[in-house]
Amino acid sequence: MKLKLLLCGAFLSTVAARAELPPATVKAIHDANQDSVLMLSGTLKYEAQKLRELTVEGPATVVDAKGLLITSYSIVRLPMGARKTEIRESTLKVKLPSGAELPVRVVLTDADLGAVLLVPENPAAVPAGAFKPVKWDTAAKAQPMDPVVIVGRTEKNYGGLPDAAPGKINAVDRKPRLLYTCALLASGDGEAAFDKDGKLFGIGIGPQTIVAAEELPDLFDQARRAAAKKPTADKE
Amino acid sequence: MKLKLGPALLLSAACWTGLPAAPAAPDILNQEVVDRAVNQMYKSLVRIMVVMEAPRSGRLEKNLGAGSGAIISEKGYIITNHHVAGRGKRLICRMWDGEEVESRLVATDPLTDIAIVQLDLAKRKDKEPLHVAKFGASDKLKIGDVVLAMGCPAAVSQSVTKGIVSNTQLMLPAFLGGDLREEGEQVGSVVRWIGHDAVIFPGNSGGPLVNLAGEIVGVNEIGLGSLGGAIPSAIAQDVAQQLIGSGRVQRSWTGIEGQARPKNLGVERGVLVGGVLPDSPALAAGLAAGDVLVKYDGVAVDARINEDLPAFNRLLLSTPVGKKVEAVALREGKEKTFAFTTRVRGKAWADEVEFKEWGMVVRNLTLLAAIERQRPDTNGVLVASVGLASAVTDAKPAIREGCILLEVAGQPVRSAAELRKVTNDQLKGVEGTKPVLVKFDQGKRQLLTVVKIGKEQKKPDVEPARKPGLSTEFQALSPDLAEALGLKGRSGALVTLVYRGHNAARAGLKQGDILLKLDGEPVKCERPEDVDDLYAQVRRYRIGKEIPLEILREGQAQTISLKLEEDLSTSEERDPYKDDVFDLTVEKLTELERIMRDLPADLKAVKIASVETGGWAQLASIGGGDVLLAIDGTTTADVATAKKLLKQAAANKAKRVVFFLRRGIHTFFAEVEPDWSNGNNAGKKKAAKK
Repeated sequence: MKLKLLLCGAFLSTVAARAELPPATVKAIHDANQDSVLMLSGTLKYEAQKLRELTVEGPATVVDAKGLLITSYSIVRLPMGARKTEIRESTLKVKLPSGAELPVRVVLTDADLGAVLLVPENPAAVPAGAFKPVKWDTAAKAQPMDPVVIVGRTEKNYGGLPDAAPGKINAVDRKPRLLYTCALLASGDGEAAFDKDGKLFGIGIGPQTIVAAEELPDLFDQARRAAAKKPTADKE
Repeated sequence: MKLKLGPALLLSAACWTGLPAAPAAPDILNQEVVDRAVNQMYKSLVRIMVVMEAPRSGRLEKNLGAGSGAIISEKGYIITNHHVAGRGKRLICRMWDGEEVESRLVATDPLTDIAIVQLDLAKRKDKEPLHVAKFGASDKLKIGDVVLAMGCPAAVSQSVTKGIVSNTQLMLPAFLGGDLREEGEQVGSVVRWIGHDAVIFPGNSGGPLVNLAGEIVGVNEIGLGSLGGAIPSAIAQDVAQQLIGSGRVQRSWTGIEGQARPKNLGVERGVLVGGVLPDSPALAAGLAAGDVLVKYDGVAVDARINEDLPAFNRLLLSTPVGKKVEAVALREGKEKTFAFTTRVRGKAWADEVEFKEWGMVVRNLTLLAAIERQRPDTNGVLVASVGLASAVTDAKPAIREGCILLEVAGQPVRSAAELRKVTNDQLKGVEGTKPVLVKFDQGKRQLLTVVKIGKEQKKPDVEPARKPGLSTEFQALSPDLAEALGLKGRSGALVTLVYRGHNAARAGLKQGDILLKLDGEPVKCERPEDVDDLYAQVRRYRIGKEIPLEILREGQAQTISLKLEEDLSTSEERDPYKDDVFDLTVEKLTELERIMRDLPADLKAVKIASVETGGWAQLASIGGGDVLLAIDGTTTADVATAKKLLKQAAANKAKRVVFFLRRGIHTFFAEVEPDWSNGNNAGKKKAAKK
């Protein structure tokens, strides 16, 4: 499915006219949303026959003020499927706009969308106003060649700074989920995609793939329910 | 022989397929003679069921095995093999009349593979005197003598097979490894077996080889092709007496490693000294590799071939500990005398001790183990087994099997007992884990690491997202199948099961329907893996979305509308509870399982998710997958109830707990009889002292 879309997108991008967004518009969208896409980093240890260690580094988008975050499987490569994953040890943190780092944990994975949801390890320790969520007033459905602005973070080696990249929607896939492809240089994984008016198109969850914002609330509800659960048993 | 794959069984299996069967012994016997011999021994025979522990993945894992034995004393002593009972934590002996009697391991000797078990006579229902077997003289056996192998092959009840002595001095050939080892001991270094062709099988181990006088002339141990091999009674009886008398076999150590004379040595007698171990009495006396030992403690010694060595080794080992001996050896053609005092030998390996807090099993260093590792003393704790996902393997650098722990948190750990103490001290009042600094040797390197010991706090699991499903199962409609159904050229997926009581059933989907289109998209499932793609396609929808399904039923296409509901494989929590006393895990009986097993939706029950190998539940024939209906008459409607009942039974130390179970269409009762005598059971082993 994705391959088909990508090919289609590549074709369209070569023939369609390019409607460039003015730099000022891109900057405005960047400025309004730069604190809503944060850097995750750290390690996760999980048991899959033996202890495996996973290094995590990449952006995640803030979903709500309590610190629910969404990122992509390519950032948090935990095994995905129908089974629960037992995390044995975690040093996973999110860097807040203030520069402070806050421990977070993975609560939910969606193998089919390639999405990973995280919450603060200790909700009570979240400073007021620490998380600035993206505005969830979603954009109208995008059409191919609509301009898009991806707000994200530079790689950690480049300081993990807020950045923004303008681009185009190359293709729209309406079934079974509303997905967009967007051929940007950066992958867009875990980053937020906006329309020309700064309204949210969706979240980057795969190679040049954006899942439409309207597809995600159910996933967020599941993540909040999972976050509220307590461990079932002690492990020896 | 154990039912588990032990060394003896492996050896048997390897050879039974590789060598032709020996011809049967001519039947020239008077049946009365055989009957008399059988009758003499039969009531002394026992089948031994053993729950044993062996290190695996950092734990002492329970295993269930079975072997044979013979009663050799009115006090209920039974002779068997070490590899049957030597690691036994729970032993039950089944008598000739079927009575099962709790028993205990008295003592064991891995070097000769002999162990002594004792019946708990107080628990015996039958108060008739025991039938005590007598030992016969194994050294009087001749090739061709008729012998009977008596025991419990494959753990069946007491059985007898007949054969002849094939070899009175059998040795394992070098090409088969030649060195059957038990707990680091080379059994063949002191034992030459009585070879015979009376059929034996795994489960015969420890059972007697019997002469026609009805006496024990050997203890069956190995299978070698169609030959059985029994430890001669001359060795077995002596070892048994020592084990009963003092709980151990006292042996001397000199450090001499003898070998048969090479052909070009140019001497006609003696045992070649292949080497002399460091720190040994013989080395201190000046004996060296290349000397040819001709006399030891006044006894002339000779080893022309390897088969002569066990007798020489027995001579050395049986010398009284602390005795001053003289060894006369040829060096450069001249006799030279070396005088030294023998030392106590001890075991090759010490007993294993489990440290759950570390995720490892350790042993003390014995004299032999320390020498083998070229260590100056026996201080330190040898790591015998580590868990794959344990605290020790997670440390950087990791602690691995073969490492020797020297210090923990600045405290020397010279033994497992000291490691236990420092572990307990470090974890006093600690919830969760605590990092401790560990100094250890890995080969010649000395390393430092930090290990987070203790009980890991359970973290919330990462959950998979809940997804929609069709409540239906499909198979691929291959081109061949399509053609056979008269649908050549058409594609789709064949409905194999519609979950009862779910949306697909409500919408009217039926077994045998062919799904042609899903939400307007053609369904193409030609290969089995395409069905997974179909399921994946459905999972990408949102739960609650209503989609049209175009189906083919009896040649007619029709469309039904289906509201996607949550997929049963992700919708239900199993809430597993692992019970360490009964060694089982129970979990919720999910709706999907109820559907697949055709169990009523309202059946009040939980599922036995798994049982530990050799655990009390398994011993009572409870298996993973069984449906648990009740415990001691109380319905186990849910996991919480099952947990409460199991804990209650443990608190009451109930002698028997009755589980009511269902397996397939059959229901049955299982009596679980946990052993409370050692404080039951999990994690309460004491550290061995040096």
